[in-house]
Amino acid sequence: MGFKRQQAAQVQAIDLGTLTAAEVERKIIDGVRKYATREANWKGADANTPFLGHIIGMGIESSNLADITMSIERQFLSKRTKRVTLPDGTARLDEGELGPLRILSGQDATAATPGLAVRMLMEHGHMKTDEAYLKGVVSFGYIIAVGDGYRLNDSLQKALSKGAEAAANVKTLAEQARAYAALLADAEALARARQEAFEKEKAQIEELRKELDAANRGLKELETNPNEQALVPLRSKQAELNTRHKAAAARLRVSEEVARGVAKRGPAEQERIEKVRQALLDSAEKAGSGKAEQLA
Amino acid sequence: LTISGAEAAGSSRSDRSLTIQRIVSAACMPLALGACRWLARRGRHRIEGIDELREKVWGWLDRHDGPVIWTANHLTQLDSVLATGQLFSWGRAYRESRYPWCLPRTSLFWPEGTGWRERLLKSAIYLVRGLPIVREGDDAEAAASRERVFRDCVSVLRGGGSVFVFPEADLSPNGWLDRNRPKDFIGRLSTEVPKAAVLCLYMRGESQTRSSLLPEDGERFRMLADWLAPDWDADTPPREVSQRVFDRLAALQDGWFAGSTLVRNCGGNDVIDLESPGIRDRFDSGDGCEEWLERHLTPRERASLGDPCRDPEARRRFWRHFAAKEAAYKALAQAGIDTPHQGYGLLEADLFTGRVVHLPTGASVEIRFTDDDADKIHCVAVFRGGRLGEDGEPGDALWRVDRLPEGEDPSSYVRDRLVEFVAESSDDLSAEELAVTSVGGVPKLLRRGEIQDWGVSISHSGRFVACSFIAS
Repeated sequence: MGFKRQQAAQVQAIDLGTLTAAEVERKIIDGVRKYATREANWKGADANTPFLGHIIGMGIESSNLADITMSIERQFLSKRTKRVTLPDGTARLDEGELGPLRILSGQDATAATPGLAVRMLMEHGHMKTDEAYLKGVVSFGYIIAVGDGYRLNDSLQKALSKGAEAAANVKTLAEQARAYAALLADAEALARARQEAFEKEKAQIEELRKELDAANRGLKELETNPNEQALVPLRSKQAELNTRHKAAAARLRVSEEVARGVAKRGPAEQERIEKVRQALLDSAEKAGSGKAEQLA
Repeated sequence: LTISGAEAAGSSRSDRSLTIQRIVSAACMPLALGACRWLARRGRHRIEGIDELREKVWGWLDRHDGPVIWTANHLTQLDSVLATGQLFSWGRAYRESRYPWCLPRTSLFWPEGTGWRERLLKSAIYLVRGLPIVREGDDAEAAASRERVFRDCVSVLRGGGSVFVFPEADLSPNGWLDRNRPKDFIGRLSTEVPKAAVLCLYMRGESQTRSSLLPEDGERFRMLADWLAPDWDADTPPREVSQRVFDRLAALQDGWFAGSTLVRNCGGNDVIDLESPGIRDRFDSGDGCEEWLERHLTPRERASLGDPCRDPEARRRFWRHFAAKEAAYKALAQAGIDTPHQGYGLLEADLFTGRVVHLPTGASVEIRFTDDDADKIHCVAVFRGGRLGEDGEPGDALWRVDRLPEGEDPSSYVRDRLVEFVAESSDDLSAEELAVTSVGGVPKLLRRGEIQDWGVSISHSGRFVACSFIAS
C-alpha cells in the first residue's frame, strides 16, 4: 500500500518551474482544505488569509501546522534538491535534479499564509521570484499585527453584547482598541517596537556566543592540561550551549524577518491595516456612542 | 595571590589559608569595591533608591553584633557583585568583616589552565573573597566538594565574618524563587552558626523576565531587603530555617512584582482530542510519518519516544510531548518569551522530570498532565507565579476541560467558559464583571475594566475546550 501511495504522490506533484505564483497559491489553499475548520474563511481565502485563527483565519489547528508544510511538499517538484551542509551544521538545497520539493526545518517559520508560503518557495529558489505577485503579499509581521487587531475587536464586540456590569470592561476595551488603531496607523512606532525586539534577541545570542566561546576555550586548554574530572561537565556544557545557540539563531532569523517586514509597509499591508483599524474604530465608536453609558 | 587548584575545587581550606585570604583581601578592599563598582558602571547598571536601602541595611548590620549570612534570589552571575558593590559605600570599606565571602561557580570563574587570563580571573576571585564551588553534578565527588565549601563558610562565620549565599543554589531556571522548594544549605549554615543573622535581598530589573548569564546593559534594578534576626539554635531543624528564609525572600518577590510592569503569573494549557480526525488518523496514513515527527521533536525527544508510526502507546507519548510544548509555549509567551510559528524544535519536553525547556533562552517551564483518558490529553504549564500542584495536593494552577457542544464556535465558547470558570472559582467574582481581551496576542482577563494578572490560558481541539489560570 505504501508503494501505491508513493506512486500517487509522485504522479500528482508538479514542477514548480511550470506554474505561476497564483497557481501555486491556489494549490496550497486547496491542499489544506481537509485541515481547515473554518470553512467559510477557507472558501474565501486569498494570499493573505492566515492558516491559523478562527476570526479571519482558516481555523487550522496547531497540531496540523506541519501538515500544511508537508502538503506543500507533496504537491510540487523542485530543482533545488541537492542538500549541502553548511559549516554551522545547518543545511541548504542547491540546484540539482528535478525531484520532490523539500522544505527544510525553520524555512517555514514565517509561512503563515498561502502568499507567505509562495514567498518562502521563491526565497529558497524553488520557483522564480515574481515581484508583481509579492507586492500583494502581506509580510509576516503585519499578519501578526492584523491578527492581534481582529482578536481585540472580537473581545470588544463580545463585551458590548453583555449586561450592565460589563460597562467598565467595554470602556477599557474601547480605549485599548483606539490605542491599537493609533499604533497601527503609526508605521514608524510599529517598526521601532519590532526592531527593538530584534536587537534584544541579538544581544541575547551574543551573550550565548560568549559563553560558548568560554567553554570552547576551556576545552582547548584541557587538551594541553588533561583533567578528566573537569572535561566531562565542560563537554556536556558545550553541547548544551551549542544546541541553545543554534535554536537562538533560528529564532533570531524570524525576528529579523519580522523587523524587516514591518519596516516596509506596502499597499497590501496598508489595505489590511486600514480594514482592521476601521473595524476597531467602529467598535470603539459603538462603545462610546451610548452603549457603555446604557450599560452603566 | 592565587590559591591552588585543589583548594579551588573545594578541598578543605585550613583556617590559616582562609585567614591569609581574608587579610590580603581586606588590604585590597578598596580595590575589590572599585572593581565591583566598575563592573556596574561598565554595564550601566543602576539600583533605584540604593542610598536609602544602603542606610536601611546598615542599620540592621550595625545593630547586630555577630556574623551575617547574605542571601538573595539568583538571576545572573553578577548578582552578588552588584549587590555587595552597591550596598558597601567607600566610607565603609574598612568594615571588612561585613564584606561577604562569595561562592562563585568553578565552571565559570575558576577556569582550567595557567594562561594570563585564567590567572587574572583567579586573582580577582581571590581578592573578592571567592570560595569557588562546584555547582554542577550530583555525583559523590561534586557533593563532597560542596560540603568542603560549606565547612569553609562555617569557618568564616564562626570567625565573625559574612558569607553571600544563593539559597536556590543555582540560577533559577524560570527566574522565579519557589518558596515550596527550600534547599538545606542555608538552613544548615544557620544552625551550625546560630548567632548568624540572615540578610535577605531581592534584586531584579524590569527586563529580567528570566535568568541569564549577565544582566542587560543599562538594566535598572529595584532591590528589596529584609532582616531575619537569629532566634533559632543548633537543634532547630535546618529545613525549618531554610523555609523561613525562602518565605522571606518569596515575600520580597511578591513585593517586587507588585511594583513592577512584569507579568507575575505566567501559565498555559493545551488540550488534544485524540479522536479528532486530524489527530486520530495522522499516523494511520503512514504518510511521511518519520518526517512529520522530526518536524515536531528535538533529536533527544525523538530518541526517547519509541516508534509512534507503529506503536499506539508511543503515539500517545508523542501527543503528550506535543501538548506539553503547546502549553509551555503559551506560558512563555505570557512572560514575553517568544517561540516562532512552527518552532517545535525550539522547545524540548522531558515528561519524566515534568519540564519543557525553551532552547534559545534556557528558560524552563513546569508541566503537569490532567484529565487524560482514552479520548483526550490535557496539559497545564506554569512558568512562574505559582505552584503547579500534584495529585492530591492542589497547587495554584486551576483548570477545566469541557466538551464543546455541537455547532458552537470553539474559539468563542472557550472564552465564555474561561470567564465562567474564573468567576466560579471565587465568591468575590461574577462572570458579568469579567471579559477576555488580548494583549500582544496573549489572552488576558479584564475585571471591571482592569487587566488582571491571572496567567489565563485557553485551548480547544476537536470535541474539547479547556482553560486554566493561576490563582496565586
